[in-house]
Amino acid sequence: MADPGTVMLAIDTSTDTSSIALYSASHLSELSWHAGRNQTQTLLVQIEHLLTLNRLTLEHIGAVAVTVGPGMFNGLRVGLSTAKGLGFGRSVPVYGIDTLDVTAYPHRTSAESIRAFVPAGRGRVVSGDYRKRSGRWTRSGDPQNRDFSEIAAGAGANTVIIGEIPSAVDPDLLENGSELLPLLSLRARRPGNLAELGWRRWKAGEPDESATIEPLYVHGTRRAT
Amino acid sequence: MLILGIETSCDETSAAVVSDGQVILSNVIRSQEDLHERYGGVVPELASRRHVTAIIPVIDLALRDAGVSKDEIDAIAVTEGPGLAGSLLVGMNTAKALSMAWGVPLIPVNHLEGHIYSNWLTEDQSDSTFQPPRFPCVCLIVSGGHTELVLIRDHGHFEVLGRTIDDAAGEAFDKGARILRLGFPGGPAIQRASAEGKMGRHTFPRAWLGDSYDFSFSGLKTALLREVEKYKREPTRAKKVVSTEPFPVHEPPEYSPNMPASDIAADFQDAIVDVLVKKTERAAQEHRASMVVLAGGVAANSLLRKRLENALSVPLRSPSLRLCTDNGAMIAGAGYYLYQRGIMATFDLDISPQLPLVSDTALEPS
Ligand SMILES: [Zn+2]
Repeated sequence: MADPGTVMLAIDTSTDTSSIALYSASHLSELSWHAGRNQTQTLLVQIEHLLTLNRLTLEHIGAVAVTVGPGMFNGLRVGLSTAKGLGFGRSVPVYGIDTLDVTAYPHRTSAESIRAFVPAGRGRVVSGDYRKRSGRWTRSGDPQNRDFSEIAAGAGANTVIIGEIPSAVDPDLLENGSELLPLLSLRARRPGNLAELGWRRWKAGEPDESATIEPLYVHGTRRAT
Repeated sequence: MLILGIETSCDETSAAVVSDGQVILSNVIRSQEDLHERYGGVVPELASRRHVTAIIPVIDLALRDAGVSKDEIDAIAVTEGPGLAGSLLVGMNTAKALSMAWGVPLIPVNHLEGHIYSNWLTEDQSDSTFQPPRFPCVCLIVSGGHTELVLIRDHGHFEVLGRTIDDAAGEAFDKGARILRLGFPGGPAIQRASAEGKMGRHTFPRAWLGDSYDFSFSGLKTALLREVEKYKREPTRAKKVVSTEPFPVHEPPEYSPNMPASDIAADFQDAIVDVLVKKTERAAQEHRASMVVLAGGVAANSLLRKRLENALSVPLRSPSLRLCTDNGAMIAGAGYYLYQRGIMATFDLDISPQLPLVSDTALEPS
């Protein structure tokens, strides 16, 4: 499939659904599974599995892309620690990519505005609004920690609302506005998109971040006690 | 055999290179004390965050300090538990990735076993007189998270004689220092204050718990709270109603300036040390230990070392102050003896925040 050092490994453990991808100039191979709290137990086993399936070894990996959040704090730490260990161990660069960017990425050709969201636990989500301004996609403002029932609030018509729905809530909550709602199967984040975003930065020659990247921690508002 | 040891179970990020379970080639410890000071104790979420940014620079420095390259490492030892989940998983996942990246064995180490093996380590490579501890020995592990009295018959043959049923000894020091406004971490703070105080003016309870080797320190905290109650004053500053801090900051109580904090600290320390010494001495006698070894952060307490030395009829051994704190060298040291017995992990290894100390003989089918 590829020459040594030419494949990007992508790791996304932002939420209960873990996913990984191997991405090169000519191939994409993806794997996702419900890891829940078992990310530490399953992640490296699945990376080894996906390499074997593609008849690749660690020698083929030339860079690592990893989601930095927003997402579940411990999940993000599992992905980042693994990516950093592999990057440092193999002396290959690591790139941290925003989980909301990964979520919004595949819809940028079909929408005018996008609200991407990531489950943050206890029925809450962190969202980010993207808009196309003079041909370029930009995110407006900081990510918002909000209740899932308010996911469409202020989003406006013709906004694609996209993200993994928290397992604890009713997906029908989304079906009440004039927003554009992609199919359920299209709402999930795909590791191939993460790999592609990481690939661009790798090919642009951006410097390795393995020593410095950290998760993006988005808190809800804490009530005063 | 060169082992890279990785330890992130609480608030120190540490990595070390140890040769043959004995000689420390490097031992990098990045402490987070500055980070947790204003909270009056370790905030688990903040500890985990610091580990994520510190882990790679610490490992990199450990290799450079030891003067070894990545391909000279023969195995990786990592703390599996007990400890804080969010902290443990940073070290664990980094260690697993390195084990895969370098194609070397991964050795899971119990943090308490690591503390024990800090007594098998030497920082001096040329010290030919160095002798490892003799079996059977009794080990007192005292730290912020643990108070355990362990009988060690041989490598991998541990018997926990007793442990704390509530607070750890180090936790009692932390809580005591917080109540007395002496600072964080509590062990050194109480020891400093005690040095200036007079003992014997305040009485604190000792929980002997009959013939048991178990410990209890929660009653001591209650007694201390009662003691300082009469010096309490209304806070002069208005309480903040809304905080933008994601974590609650510790607001220390306010006392009248004539509270004899140093005297109280001295008797408080005496009460903790008294119980630790008497139980350890009795355990050493009952089990005919050839020596007693100390381990853990509270082992740095000089009153504890002095009292034990005087009380024991067998030699006392305590690690250097640096090896008393959580560190990667002790994990690499313990990892060496585990590896000798063929103990290695596969990539599905998980962290184990509540992991107890058990003998490996107990794991074998009978
Ligand atoms: Zn410890």
